[in-house]
Amino acid sequence: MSEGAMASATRLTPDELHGWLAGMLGDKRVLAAVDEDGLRVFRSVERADQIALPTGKTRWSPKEFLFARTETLFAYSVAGNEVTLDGAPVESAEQVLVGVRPCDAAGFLRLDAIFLDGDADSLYASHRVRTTVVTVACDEAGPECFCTAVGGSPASDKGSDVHLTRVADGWLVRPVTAKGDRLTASLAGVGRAPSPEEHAEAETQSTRVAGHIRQSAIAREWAAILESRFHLPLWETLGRRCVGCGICTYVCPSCSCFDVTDTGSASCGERCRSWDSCTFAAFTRHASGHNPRATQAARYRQRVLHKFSYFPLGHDGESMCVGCGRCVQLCPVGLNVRETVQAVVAAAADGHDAGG
Amino acid sequence: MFQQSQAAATTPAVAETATWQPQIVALICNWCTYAGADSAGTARRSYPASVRAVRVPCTGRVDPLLIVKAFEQGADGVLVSGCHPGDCHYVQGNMVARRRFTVFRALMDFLGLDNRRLHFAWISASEGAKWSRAVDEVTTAVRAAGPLRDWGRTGARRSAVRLPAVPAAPRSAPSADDQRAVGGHLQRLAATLLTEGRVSVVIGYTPGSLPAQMVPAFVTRPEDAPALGWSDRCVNNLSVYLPGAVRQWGKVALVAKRCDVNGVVGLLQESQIARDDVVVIGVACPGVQDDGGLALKCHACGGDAPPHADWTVTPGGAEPGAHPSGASGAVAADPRDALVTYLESLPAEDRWAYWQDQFSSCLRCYACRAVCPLCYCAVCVAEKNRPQWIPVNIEGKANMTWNIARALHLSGRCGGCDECARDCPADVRLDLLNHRLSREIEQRFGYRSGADPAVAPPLATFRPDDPQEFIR
Amino acid sequence: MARIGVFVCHCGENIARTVRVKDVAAAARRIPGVVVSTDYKYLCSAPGQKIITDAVTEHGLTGVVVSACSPQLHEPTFRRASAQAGLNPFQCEMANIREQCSWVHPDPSEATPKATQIVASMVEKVKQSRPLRAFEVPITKRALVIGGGVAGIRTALDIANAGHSVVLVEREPSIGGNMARLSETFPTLDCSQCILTPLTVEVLRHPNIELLTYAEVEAVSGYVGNFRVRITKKPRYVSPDLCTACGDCVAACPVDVPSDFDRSLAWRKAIYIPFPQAVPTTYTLDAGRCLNARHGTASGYRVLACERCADACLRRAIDYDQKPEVVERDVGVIVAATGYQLWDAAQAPEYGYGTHPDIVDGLEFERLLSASGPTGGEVRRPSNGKPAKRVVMIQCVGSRDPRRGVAYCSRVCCMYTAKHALLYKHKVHDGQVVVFYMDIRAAGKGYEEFVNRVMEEERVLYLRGRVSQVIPRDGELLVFGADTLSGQAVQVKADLVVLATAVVPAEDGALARKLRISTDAYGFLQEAHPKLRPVETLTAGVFLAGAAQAPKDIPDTVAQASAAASKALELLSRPVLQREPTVCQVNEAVCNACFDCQRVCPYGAIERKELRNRDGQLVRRVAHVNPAMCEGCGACLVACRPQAIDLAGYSNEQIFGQLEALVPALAGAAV
Repeated sequence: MSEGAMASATRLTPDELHGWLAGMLGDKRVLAAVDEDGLRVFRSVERADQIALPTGKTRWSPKEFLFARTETLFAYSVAGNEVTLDGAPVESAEQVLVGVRPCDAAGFLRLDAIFLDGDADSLYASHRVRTTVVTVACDEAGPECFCTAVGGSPASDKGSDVHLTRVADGWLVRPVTAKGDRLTASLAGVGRAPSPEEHAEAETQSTRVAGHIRQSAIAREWAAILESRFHLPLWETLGRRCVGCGICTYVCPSCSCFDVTDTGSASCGERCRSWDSCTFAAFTRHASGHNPRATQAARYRQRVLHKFSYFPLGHDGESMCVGCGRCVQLCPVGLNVRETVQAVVAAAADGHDAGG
Repeated sequence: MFQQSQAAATTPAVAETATWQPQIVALICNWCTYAGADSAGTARRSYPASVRAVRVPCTGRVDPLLIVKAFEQGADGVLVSGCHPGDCHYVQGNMVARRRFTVFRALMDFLGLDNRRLHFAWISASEGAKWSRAVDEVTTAVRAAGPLRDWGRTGARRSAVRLPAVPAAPRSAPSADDQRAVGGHLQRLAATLLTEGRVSVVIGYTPGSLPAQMVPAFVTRPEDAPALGWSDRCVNNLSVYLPGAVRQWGKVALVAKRCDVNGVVGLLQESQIARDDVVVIGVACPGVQDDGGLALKCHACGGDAPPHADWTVTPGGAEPGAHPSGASGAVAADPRDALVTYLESLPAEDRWAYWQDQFSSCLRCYACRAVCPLCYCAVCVAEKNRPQWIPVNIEGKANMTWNIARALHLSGRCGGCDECARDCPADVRLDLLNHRLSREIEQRFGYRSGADPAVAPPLATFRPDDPQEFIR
Repeated sequence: MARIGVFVCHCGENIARTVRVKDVAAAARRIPGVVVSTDYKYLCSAPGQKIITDAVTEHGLTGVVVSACSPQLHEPTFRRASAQAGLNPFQCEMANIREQCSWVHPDPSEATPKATQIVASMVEKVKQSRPLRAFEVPITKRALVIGGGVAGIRTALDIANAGHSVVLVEREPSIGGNMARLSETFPTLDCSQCILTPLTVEVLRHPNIELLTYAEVEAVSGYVGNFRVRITKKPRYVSPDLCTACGDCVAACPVDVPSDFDRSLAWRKAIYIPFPQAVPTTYTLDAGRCLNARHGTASGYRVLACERCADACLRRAIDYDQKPEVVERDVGVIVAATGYQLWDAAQAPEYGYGTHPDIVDGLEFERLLSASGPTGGEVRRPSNGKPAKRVVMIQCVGSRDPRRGVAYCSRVCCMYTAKHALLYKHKVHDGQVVVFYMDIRAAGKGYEEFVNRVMEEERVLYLRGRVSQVIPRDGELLVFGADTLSGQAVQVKADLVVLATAVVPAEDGALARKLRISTDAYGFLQEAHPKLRPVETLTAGVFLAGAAQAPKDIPDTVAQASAAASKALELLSRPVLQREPTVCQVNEAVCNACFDCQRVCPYGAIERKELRNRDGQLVRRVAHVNPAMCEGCGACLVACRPQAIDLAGYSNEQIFGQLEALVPALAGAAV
């Protein structure tokens, strides 16, 4: 499972890679990044030529295939005095996520920690067990990227089952887990061992892309510092411009909050869970109208602290944020969680408030 | 979804039989049409058993979202009927309703809903014959349209519709010198306003963390004024912050482009702020960049100085008062017009497929709502659950309902800043929905948002002679 | 948990012939929450109602659905029955399976499932119903009557005679209105003044009537039973307590002014009473015309240029320092009797009105005929004072002329033209009258006979046709017209032309807005229903009388005035008012104070309410529905984007429940 275990990698030509991916289409649901009228998202694909393995990220993370936007928990129907309950529809078809970025794969590990540690969430677990993740090392980084600041890397295979790296004329394919072994079993006799030059090329690419991410690290110790700065007035100035949409949480690979709602009439209906966002005022609003997180700045602080303090404090200091930078890139008002964390920590160190 | 699968399992089988009876919900007023339907009964005029009536006091009580709810529940068609104009038991309820229906119908038509499914009528208490004829005609029309199976869907985009390319920007980006000059004037003006205590905060723009990005900034101390800046990346409509800022600080100075001022006017119209609360610093903006080019909303904007401003900032300086020349006018056609016209030129089913695609991607992050200056409701209709107007589920039907509700609630109010569309992570073309409805309202009611804070919004008023050719 | 009873009526064969009522009742039994479902031959009969009341008691029902005829027929019946059994009447609903099902769907296989769905949908509605109680509103036992013409006078007297206080407001210095200007009245030829003056005097002396003349209604707030009216009394500059109506001031006044009362056919002084029998008999100083006017301000005189009237008044009744006085009166009901005026005939230039003094309108001719008029009742030409020997009367000037005037018939012109012709012939025996008419409308007791008498006995020439032009030439008027019966062009020479101009409302709509009542396309005040509620308006507690509602003659006006009085008395005679509880209510926590609701409310029932904290500081404003003014139309709740408003009895949850049960995707399980 370590990044050094390159020995088991296979070098495939683009055709061989495509052949391998096409082979999955028969019996598995294949999910790949596709461009739909300018919108790049993971979709279920039917044909191998739809799998383009484009550079760059999808607009939002593929977490929806493990933690759906909306999922039925149970359904009921009533006739007279008889009530019929149907459990959640169980999906068992295997699915393969192809072309996942290392940051998004790291996001799956965060979701695992949230949904599987302790009493496992059965729905999430059922999706997790039927999902195989094929990651691709990044060959470019956007100005918003900061995986390296939170312990990730553009070439990381954490959270991956099969890791791909693009080299000059082909791909290095390396199973990372037993699931990955099974998925690559069909490659027996296909491709060849990578040359030392190709290994070197992969290394160089990793270093080069990581070098583009010039974001200073968010230290593990900051989790405690941040928590101690909960009452810092600076939060108010930092979060003031937050307008309270849910973009950051919905595109985020590790945000996992949901709402549970009942819909239907007296005769039939269902209980569902749907994504929810801590940035919404309604997230914490009580029935009385009182809201313990009264301001948008308080809600923004909640998201930042959950990512960079509360979660790490319970998970050996590991940041919940995986540094994909989508929230930075897509925030309508240009909020930047990384800069917020740094500003709060800097203020703590200085012992004074930085200006607005 | 459970409900969907149940519906899907029953309707097609029923539909295939020749005697398929469409399900039509009729929302009818108590005083005229309900009595008219009764008189059809008294006269024993038989008509198809397709219509299920819901009695309401007045068509003025018919929220278009109730029509949406009927479709969402599985109705194949909807008929709304009430008193003839002038006969309303409540004087004017039907005439207020007529404007709402005009807009709703325009929206549904633009979304590509088969117009054989949605009907409006004025049927009086004495017109039993007209009622039975209306039910006959509506039933025939809905039967021809067939069962409504695709009200909202989720998943990959399927439509082949691609919007035509937008013409090149009608003008080049403003010079860096001009932008710097505007920034400098804003800094000095902000410092003056704060120093003299005329405002407690200046809301403007400051460089953000991404390359060339400009982000909203709140400046409360004169010494922080140099943080302010100006460029063609000042995309945000800062009037979204106004009501909250006024509550927090009292007097607020707001840097506003011409399109942003529409938001200020809307907030004034709807009593969310008072004119004395805000000092509008209007910037003569030659257009902002969005998605690597001139924003669509800017093509037809001449870059005139904003109206209703208390200060006007140009590269030449900052002057008190508003100085719209009014002369610059449009410098190019509004590309949104062309895109709307293109979509309207398509067959309805193609348009329907296009918008089904658009809404299928919607994540329900509510960024469209959050960035809109006129979405100021403390509790949004999407958060109401007694009853649940907008299902919480992030899937097809609920996404339909949300996007329809959003467009309707902004109709006659939207100032066309297009912030909702710019920020939508799913690229839903909310700008085109808004633009289509603004156009409808301008053409039908002669109303343009943002012109006059003293006039009533067009859907909160009516004229007795409003057009009604769509009402049978 | 809901406990609903469903009762399916056969209505003899009316329902049962095409709706399988047993099947409907059985299907309803399977709807969750339905604890009893049964059918009966005639539910509206006494035993039928007993089935319902017994079931309410026996099963402890929280809701009743009566599946029978239209609620417009029997909803009150079954709600009363439910109430007798202790159920709130608003938790009883009717499923209309007769008028809207069995009678229109002959095929039982269609009618039965539809009836079942209608029942299911009403069950869902009732599940969401809340108990509602009619609430009581106190009522101020005083009426406001606006307008002191014969309509207002009659209304005021009727209410006052019934023992209630009345405030009668008249804009002019005296009451009597247009009727006081008339010479005689058709068809009986009573002297108008002679029959009106006893009434005006009775008003003045009536202990229950407070008469406010020379006063105008400024603002009306409140609602039925509880109006507050602000009235401005314009300054007369003459103290009514001191004035003895001796007229010495008039003699002293140096300023001559055209008399409004005499339609500018005569002069009066700047200090005046409009006519000798005027009530009240207090002189009024016309501040706009008095020599002191140019020194004065709206609120009184500052520098006096002329004090001759004051000097002449021995009682020292002249008070140049009088100011407009604003008085407030609380009233329970309001009657608008603001009357009519004549259309300005100058808008039809071919008749030459306004270009020559001998072309007059109907009211001007009344003054020429009147014994108290400027000529003492002799018909003389205004231009030279010589007797008018040849008179042409033209009907439908402005009336029935949608292009320039009004589309409607003014109703009184045919009759008063006949009366004018007759009165003229009686005064000028050798005079000649030609009447141009479109057709004669003489519907009324004794009216047709009257017109025939004028035509036949008085030898008045009636020509059917329009007049194309009236041209003054050589001291006389040339009238060019057509006689459509003979097909001849006609040219008539006249000394005097009388135009029967259209009757239009006296008010321009400002008062209607103050009263929050509507007007029709011509500005006449709109009645609640043209047939069944002709003197009521859609604003509870506001009634109409007289020509303000539509053109009408004196008998109709007086009849309507008494009708309005009786409607007003119906309210005033109650100890308290019961109001329907199906009204709107604002959830203040959700209201965001955009006040679009206020903009769409036709009743002005929505107020801006201030929410204050314990220290009395304003926290925010919210909309508030005054339930006494709300009529329950629901227009406001659709205007409310956050859905802060709901309508009791037709609530969103009720309608959602209905919709969910109506469409088979969900109703399927229930049916």
